[in-house]
Amino acid sequence: MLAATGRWKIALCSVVSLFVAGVSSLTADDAAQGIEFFEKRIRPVLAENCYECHSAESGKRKGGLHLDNRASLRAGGDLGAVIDLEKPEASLLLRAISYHDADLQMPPEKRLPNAVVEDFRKWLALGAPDSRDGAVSVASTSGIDFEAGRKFWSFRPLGEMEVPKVAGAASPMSPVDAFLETRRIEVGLKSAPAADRRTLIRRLYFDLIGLPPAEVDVQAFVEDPAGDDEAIAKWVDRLLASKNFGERWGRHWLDVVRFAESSGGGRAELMHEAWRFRDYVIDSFNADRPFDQMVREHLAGDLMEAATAAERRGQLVASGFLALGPTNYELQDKEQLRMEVVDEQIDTMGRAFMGMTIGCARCHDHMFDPISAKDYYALAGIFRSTDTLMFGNVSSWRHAPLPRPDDAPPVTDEQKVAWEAFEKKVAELEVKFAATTNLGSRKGVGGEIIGLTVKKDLPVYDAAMSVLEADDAGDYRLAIRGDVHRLGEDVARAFPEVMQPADAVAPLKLKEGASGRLELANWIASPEHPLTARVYVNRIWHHLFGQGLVRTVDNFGATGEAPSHPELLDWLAAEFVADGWSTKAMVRRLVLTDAYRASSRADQTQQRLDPENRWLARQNHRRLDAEVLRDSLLVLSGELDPTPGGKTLPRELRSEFGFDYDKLLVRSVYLPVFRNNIESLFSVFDFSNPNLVAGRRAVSTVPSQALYLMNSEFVSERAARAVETVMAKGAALPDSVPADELSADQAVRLLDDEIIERLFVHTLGREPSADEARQCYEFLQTFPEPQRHLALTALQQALFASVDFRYVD
Amino acid sequence: MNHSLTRRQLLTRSACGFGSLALAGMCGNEALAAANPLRARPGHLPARAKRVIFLWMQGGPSQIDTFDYKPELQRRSGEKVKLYNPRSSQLEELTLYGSPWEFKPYGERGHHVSSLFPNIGQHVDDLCFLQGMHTEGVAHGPATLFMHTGATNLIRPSMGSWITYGLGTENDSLPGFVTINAPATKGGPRNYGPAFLPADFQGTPIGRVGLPAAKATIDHLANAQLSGAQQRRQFDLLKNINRAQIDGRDATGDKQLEAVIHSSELAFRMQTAAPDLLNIEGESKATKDLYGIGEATTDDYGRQCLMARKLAESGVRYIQVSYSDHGASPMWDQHSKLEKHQEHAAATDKPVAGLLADLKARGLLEDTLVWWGGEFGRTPFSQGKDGRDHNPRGFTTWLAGGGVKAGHRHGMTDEIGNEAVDGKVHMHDLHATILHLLGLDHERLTYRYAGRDFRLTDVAGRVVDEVIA
Repeated sequence: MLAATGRWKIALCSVVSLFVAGVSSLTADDAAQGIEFFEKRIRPVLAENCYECHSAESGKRKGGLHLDNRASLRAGGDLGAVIDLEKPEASLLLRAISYHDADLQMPPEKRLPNAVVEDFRKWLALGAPDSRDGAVSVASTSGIDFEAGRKFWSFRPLGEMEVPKVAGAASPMSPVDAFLETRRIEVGLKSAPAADRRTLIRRLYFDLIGLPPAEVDVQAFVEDPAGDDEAIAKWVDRLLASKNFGERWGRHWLDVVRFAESSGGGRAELMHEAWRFRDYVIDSFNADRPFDQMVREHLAGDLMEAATAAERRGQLVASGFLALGPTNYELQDKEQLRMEVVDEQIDTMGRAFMGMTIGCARCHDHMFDPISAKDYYALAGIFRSTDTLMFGNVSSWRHAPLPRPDDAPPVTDEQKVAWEAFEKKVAELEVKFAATTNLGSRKGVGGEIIGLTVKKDLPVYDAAMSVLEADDAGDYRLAIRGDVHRLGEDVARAFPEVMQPADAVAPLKLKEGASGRLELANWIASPEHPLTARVYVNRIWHHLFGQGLVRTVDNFGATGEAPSHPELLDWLAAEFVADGWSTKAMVRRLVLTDAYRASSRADQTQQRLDPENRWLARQNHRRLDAEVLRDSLLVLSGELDPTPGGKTLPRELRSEFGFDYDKLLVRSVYLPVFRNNIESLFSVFDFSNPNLVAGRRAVSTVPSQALYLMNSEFVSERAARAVETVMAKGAALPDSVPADELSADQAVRLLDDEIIERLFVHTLGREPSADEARQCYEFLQTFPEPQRHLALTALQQALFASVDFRYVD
Repeated sequence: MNHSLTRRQLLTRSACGFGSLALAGMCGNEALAAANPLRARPGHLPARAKRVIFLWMQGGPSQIDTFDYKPELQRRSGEKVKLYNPRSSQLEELTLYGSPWEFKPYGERGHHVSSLFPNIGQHVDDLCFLQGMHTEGVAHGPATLFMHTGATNLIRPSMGSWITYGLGTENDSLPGFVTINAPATKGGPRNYGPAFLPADFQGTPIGRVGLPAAKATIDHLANAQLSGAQQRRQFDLLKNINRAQIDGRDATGDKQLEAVIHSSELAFRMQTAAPDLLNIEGESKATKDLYGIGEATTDDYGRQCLMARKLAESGVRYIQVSYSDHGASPMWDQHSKLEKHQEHAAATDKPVAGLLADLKARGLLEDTLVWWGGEFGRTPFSQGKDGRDHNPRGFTTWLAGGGVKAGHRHGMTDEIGNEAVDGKVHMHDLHATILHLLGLDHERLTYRYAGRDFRLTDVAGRVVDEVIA
């Protein structure tokens, strides 16, 4: 295989030797004439037409090529040598300026006049005499020092951390608190006291299950005679055991894996079976499936052994992770499409599991992290050896049949026949597809396969999005500047060099036909991997404290942020692995700390010494995210439909456009996620962008949020129902008030105060302050009596839009 | 200086624009203004244009039936030739298909325009034609995303988002980036979404496809049940409750919580100011007639164009007006029955010409850049018996005002109008040029996300100096 880089090397050698030979064979006169020709006819053209993009002065080196001195011109660029003195007619330079190649036309805006092209032809025939001095400026190719790279904090092996002893601690302290307190002492900060129980129960409910506590639960917790430690542990265990836990924490993970139920792009094809992946994730968190197992199942579930049908189903569904990306299936160039999918898989895997922006190395070595383009294409070989796509005019992901559940009735003979006929038909089409060379017909056959296997339910068996090992599994090559049509040297499949000890770096040893995906999954999920456990425990921390120990949760590279407490992060990662990669154990460990329990109110000293709260002398108050906001509205209006999971999209649904979300009153995690039609409350309140890995959501504060809360029909409806819920309990004057001694005005006042108080307790879990009560009372009085319900609804809506509802202390 | 310009300057320069006087105090708050990500700010370079109106012709209007006159194609119509077909990426024998429309020269320079656009034809001396356009993406989705975001498949911010990120906006009661009648399909919200830029820079949709322009509004702009006065009191109540709640928390002045109050007030200003701007009833009959409002064929797009003028006048930075629908084959997408181009031309010709005339009369054309065009063009060979396929390799777009040469043509396609051959302008180049006219250097307008600096033009883009006046 003659790779471009190979050519480049050969051409360069021949140029150099020829040039030396040429000089000796030319007379001085010839040389002088050649230079004169260059100065008059070539150099001005280069300066005028080429330097803008190919010179040190312009600072541009398009195509890796400089043309502003002899050495650079002869060194060539990404496509290899641009001049060939043995065969001047074959020079790339000539090809580009003569505009014969549709993909290589220079200068890009306008073809040079014929006479000028002829001058270049002549000049090349003369041996391209060139009077310009200067050295080749160094191209940005490789030269990464991996040994130095391995010393960066996130690539170092997990250290064995000792829990620090805190001098003079009044009471025994959890290890996490000991780590935190050590730093606080160093910077001169004192921890805030614990939040009161009313605040704490709200915090726990929202953090662990994403729902507001019922008034009775608040009361029960506040009045629980047990000590704080015991009372909190009891409620934490109750919440961890609730199926709502998986709904809350599963959703966090769905953000990371850019879950959606349509492909996005131009066409936004509906992913009718994606719901299975969502339910797999929720079930995984409820069952506390070890995270290392989840990683393996995400990346290579289809290649794993299973003991039961249920296990096999889970594995296949999980491997849909690879197919869930935002792919523009309309792209017509098959190879381009294939590598776009590969790129998306690498980028998502890198950021989701390792906090690494590996995708940056697609076109050249990573600018900031020690990840080379070769590392990228070593991984690309693995994913290119994975068959994710079915090609058609509009291409598609693939579906795999799922084994029938263990408790399902056995397949009947009739079903067996039907399935075999179906498989036979698909197999025949696949053979035809492989044999068809005409592009149009090929798309047609591909479309037929997609029609049978993806656009419709499969006969007999359930289907899930999944992947296969590719028929042409094998190593790939370096794509020059990321261009899939210009391939360079071969790259053996391997793992990124910097993430392994130097003595472990080696190409993968793979069986014929194997992609290497299973090996990759096992490597990422191993306890020795420097990043996986660190990145994951940091994600948990982020959700419980509002910011990670590493705040750039998806970026543990040089452009990310260093951990505030590196020892604590390593200690937690080690504990996490020791606990069998249990999410629940880690969540429990963290919420039972004093740090988690602390009040979120800052005093002046904390504000001055640590305005960003990096040292956690207090909790962070946090905004309710989109789902919690919507679920809370539905809980308070008494309308939340508790039906869990299941199929989201009716088979007959053909487009995401115009989908009516407002009819669905299920928990937010079960609403369909359409890439080009996000539910409006979600899009206004910074729902995760399902096109991107998003371990940390944006928290924007924009006017459209206030407009939504104050004006949308959805919130108005919820407010009206919430008022009815509160009023249904009946509003009456307390018995202690002698009603017959009151004036009408006084009675109204007392009644209104009572209602206002109930609305506050119902909505915010607390009574109004005197100031708030007065404001609300005066507001209600501005409405005439027939508009009583409207007035209360408007008041309720303002409460929904208020800071205390939108933020958790 | 004419009267309307002075008035416009007054409106845009007064901090509160159309907001109520009662709120003047709010707007004058420097601390909040400093925290406002949409605050107007200068770019990297002197700006020739302050704002953009993009008239998107969805589906890909045919260059050879509109502004790219090709007598050679007419002459050889029906001839079979071997041409590269972008759809199949290969050479094929195809049949040339001459334009069914007559062309005639307009204006001082005698630029040929087909009989599809008799009104726009009257303005050719104000227009700057880019006749050697080319782009990425053969199908609508990829090409539409490329036109809006500079990427066919990767997730990137929309151009309007980049521009408001770079320049902010000049009216703090309105969003900086609005998109009128944006389709939900072909990439939908991604075409006006901020991707990884902060949410402040997302496009605000006005109206939606399928809803008559007369009813177009911003989502959730008013509470259906409350009167204006009641809602003012409700917002006041909200402000007071929030104030009490924030003060009760800590005395340390949490910026994020203060921003809740600030954004609620801005929301109320927006809901007060926007209806007037979106309501064109106050405009004179002469103005409405100019846009073809009241005539069945032109009423809808005419209203949208007039709305765009009003928004431009009040300082909105980036305004897109899409002539679009939700069909599988969008508006200008005549794979068959090319004659339907007539219908789409009829619906847009007068409104677009009216917009140009109106902007010019108000002195707004000087610093408003108008961009007309589709996501790609169409082939000079026939598809089926009377249609044309997509053509990303050569098409025409025009610009007007905002610092571009008036009455100018740049670039050309080959003699049959198939492929750009001279003065080629890639969509990345057009993006770079538009940013340049606004005073933004496309190589310096970057945002760091996930470990690298991103920009609208990726690693490409060249400012087309030849079209700049």
